[in-house]
Amino acid sequence: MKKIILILIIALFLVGCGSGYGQEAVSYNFKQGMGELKTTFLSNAPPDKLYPGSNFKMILQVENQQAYDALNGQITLVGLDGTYFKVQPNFRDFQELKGRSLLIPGGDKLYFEFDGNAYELFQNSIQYNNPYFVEIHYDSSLDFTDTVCINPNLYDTYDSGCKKKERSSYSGQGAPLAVTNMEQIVFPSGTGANVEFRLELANRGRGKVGYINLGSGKLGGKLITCEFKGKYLVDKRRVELKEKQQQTKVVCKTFLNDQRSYETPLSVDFTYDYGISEQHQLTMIR
Amino acid sequence: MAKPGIGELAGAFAAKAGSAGSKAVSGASSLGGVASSAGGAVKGAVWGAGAAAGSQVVNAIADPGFILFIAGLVTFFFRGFIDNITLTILLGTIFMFYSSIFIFKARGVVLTTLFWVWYIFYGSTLNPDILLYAMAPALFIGMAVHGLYSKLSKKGSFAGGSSGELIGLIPVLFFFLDLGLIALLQKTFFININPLVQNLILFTPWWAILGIFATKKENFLITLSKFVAIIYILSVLTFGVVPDAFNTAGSVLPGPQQFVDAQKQIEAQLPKAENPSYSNFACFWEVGFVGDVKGCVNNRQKSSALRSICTKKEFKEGTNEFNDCIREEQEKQKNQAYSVSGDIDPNIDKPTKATFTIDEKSISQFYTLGAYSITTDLKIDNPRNQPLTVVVNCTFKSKGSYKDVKGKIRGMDMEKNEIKVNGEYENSFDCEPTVKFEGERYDFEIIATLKDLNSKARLERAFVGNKTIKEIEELKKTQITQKIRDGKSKAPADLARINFDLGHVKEEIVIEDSPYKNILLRSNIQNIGSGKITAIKSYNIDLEGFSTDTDMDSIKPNCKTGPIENQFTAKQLEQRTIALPVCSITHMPPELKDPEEYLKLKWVPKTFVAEFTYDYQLTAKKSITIKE
Repeated sequence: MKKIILILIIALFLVGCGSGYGQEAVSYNFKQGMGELKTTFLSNAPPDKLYPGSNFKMILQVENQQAYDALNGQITLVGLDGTYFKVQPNFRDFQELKGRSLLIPGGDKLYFEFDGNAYELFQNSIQYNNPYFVEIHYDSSLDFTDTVCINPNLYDTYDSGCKKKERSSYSGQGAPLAVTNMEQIVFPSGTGANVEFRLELANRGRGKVGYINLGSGKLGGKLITCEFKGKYLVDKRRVELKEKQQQTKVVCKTFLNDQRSYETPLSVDFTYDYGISEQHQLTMIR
Repeated sequence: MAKPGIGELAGAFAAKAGSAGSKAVSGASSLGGVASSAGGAVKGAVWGAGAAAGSQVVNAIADPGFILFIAGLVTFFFRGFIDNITLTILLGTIFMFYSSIFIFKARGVVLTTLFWVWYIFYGSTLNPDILLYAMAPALFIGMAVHGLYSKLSKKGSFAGGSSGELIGLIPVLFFFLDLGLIALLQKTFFININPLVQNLILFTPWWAILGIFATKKENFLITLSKFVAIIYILSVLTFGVVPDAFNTAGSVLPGPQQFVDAQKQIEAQLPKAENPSYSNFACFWEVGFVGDVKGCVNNRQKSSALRSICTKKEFKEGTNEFNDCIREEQEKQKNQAYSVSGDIDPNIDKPTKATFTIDEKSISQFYTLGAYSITTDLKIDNPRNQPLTVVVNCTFKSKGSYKDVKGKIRGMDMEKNEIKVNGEYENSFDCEPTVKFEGERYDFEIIATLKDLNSKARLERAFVGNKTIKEIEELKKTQITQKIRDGKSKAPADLARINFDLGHVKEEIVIEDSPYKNILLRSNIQNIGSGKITAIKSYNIDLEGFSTDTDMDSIKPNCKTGPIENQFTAKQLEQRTIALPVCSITHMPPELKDPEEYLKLKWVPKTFVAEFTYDYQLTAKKSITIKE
């Protein structure tokens, strides 16, 4: 009995000393990996099988699994044939759907209701399948931040400071659009050196990225010049990604005054619009 | 260097065959020797070749595979004359067991036998009692016996012997292929008929193919036959393209009658074109290897199909009527409305059908006043419970100089002969002569006219508004083709159907709002059954909100609704495809013209429905001989 009590006390002590969920949440970085809006219809809304002449409800749950807010959202049901089904309204919108954060670790959720009527089957058909699409379009943002080692002294290869990384890869920043790679290039310029950060942006989600707007780029809290490079530029700070070209490049550069190597944060932010299309099906049976 | 001539090659070939022959048969060799000593080397070679060929035939005939090859070929070429389901099944059964026993050395005979018992005797039931308590134990015992036999006779392992039973599935597969598996799959799964499937249905001698590729012996004749078989299959297939298939499946195994019916129905729907293998060979001969063989084959196929259509109409080849018919058919193929085709609706499993069959057992040779009649069975599958009127008339048409004898349906009003039907209907009609027969030989003819049949068809289209080609292609690829699989109208497999097409190009599923593209409505009525359409009482293509260029024309027939008086002549009604007026869309509803503006949608699907009401005549005929 004494042994059991002792074990329980030790267990309680160990558990008490361990890191709890709250602490984990505090230290958790939501801006990593890939996250996007997730849509699901609630069970039996709509039912798997509908009968002719029946009414039904469609309840769509939209969950923001991004680390950023989704803004100006539009939900549309596309491809429903009015001869067989009437769904009203066939589009809905939302102003804001909060992303994952310390306050909402799971991301915000919204529910949208659509009222439907099933009409009649064609002749004596056994069934009718109507594949349709739930399309969601929204605006969102992306923040890229990393601590980089800057070594402006091109001749001192044995600098005792940090070690410069020429190329870094990233799994994502908690959004479908992600900075996937970054190259750092330092080259001499006058009495000092220039540093260039070449960022590769790509769509890692299931949907499509439309326009991307470049916000600001900062190195150690100081603004640096950033611009898009490559195809489909609207201007230097705006690009429109095409269906088959869901990636682009951004180049940020600045002049370095320091002579010694040092570590400093680099951040670049973007806004973009994004669209997801998911296929579902309504089935009417005899 | 000069190429060897055909004569020289033939000589060398014959000499080689001669030497092979002399090795194979001593008698042949001595004969060759005598001939050669007589001084004729060529003569000797010919003798040798003949003897060799003879010996190879004898040798090949001893091979069970070669026997199946020959028997399969013979039945294939006489298939057109076998119009008897029992004989077809009997031949299939013989070939199935023959191949199971002699070709596969009885390795799968238990499975084949079980299949046969289950399929023929139990009518391919899915009754779990029969499957679990009769078939499964029998299969298990069969496999065990086979395994034990293999083990005890030291011919192999138990597992090898028992699993060898699965070979029994091969003859079963060929049994189905020969009965018409492809045709049935086509009918069941609604695969669009394309040249490849047509060719497979019409021109593949399945048992012969199994036989020749299962031969064990090796000699020149067998190798040549295999080579010819490969060339034959390739030349049949090279005419076709890969089939497009789509969903929907049934699960219960169909009966043999369904297989044969499906095969016949598919064959009946197709104009009988020349065997593509023959076309290929003929074209190689005509234009050589470097000429336009494909074009030549297409032309031969087209012209043979046209000839077949006109021959079916009982025109004699070479006559003016025949030539007129060919010209008419060629014109028809150019006509927009004729070229529209439709498909069977995969969602409608029960179409409106009718069969009208003379009961041959009721036909007597001996005429007795008041006691002579012929029975004909009418069965109407009317799953949509259409209100119909059935009119039945019968006559005995004299084959000689005697007068025709009018018939009377027993129990029916002589004047009207009408029955009202509004559901499933099955009845036998007894036709008796109204007067005594004067002659001996008559054609008994009974006609059932089903009045006011109605059939509908649906057509799906996607309206995209005004978009760029790239945007449309993108929408088509990602969404539209998921919803609309193909561009043909769909109708139940009724006796006749209405086919229609709406769009810029035939069978194109996307309709744009473009000032540079016109939208045409093309339609026709197609006779699917074995009877005749005797009247088209109405047709209506529901295009609510659309205007056409025929709307304002009071003289021309309208493309959406009709008919006007005398729109269809009796000659037109006799055609398998009856063209309806073609028109151009001049206005469409705003929500379809610009779905983005009116519905906030990038595209919108729309199903159109067309329907028509018609009379359909079924005729049953039989030649009879009367004796007092």
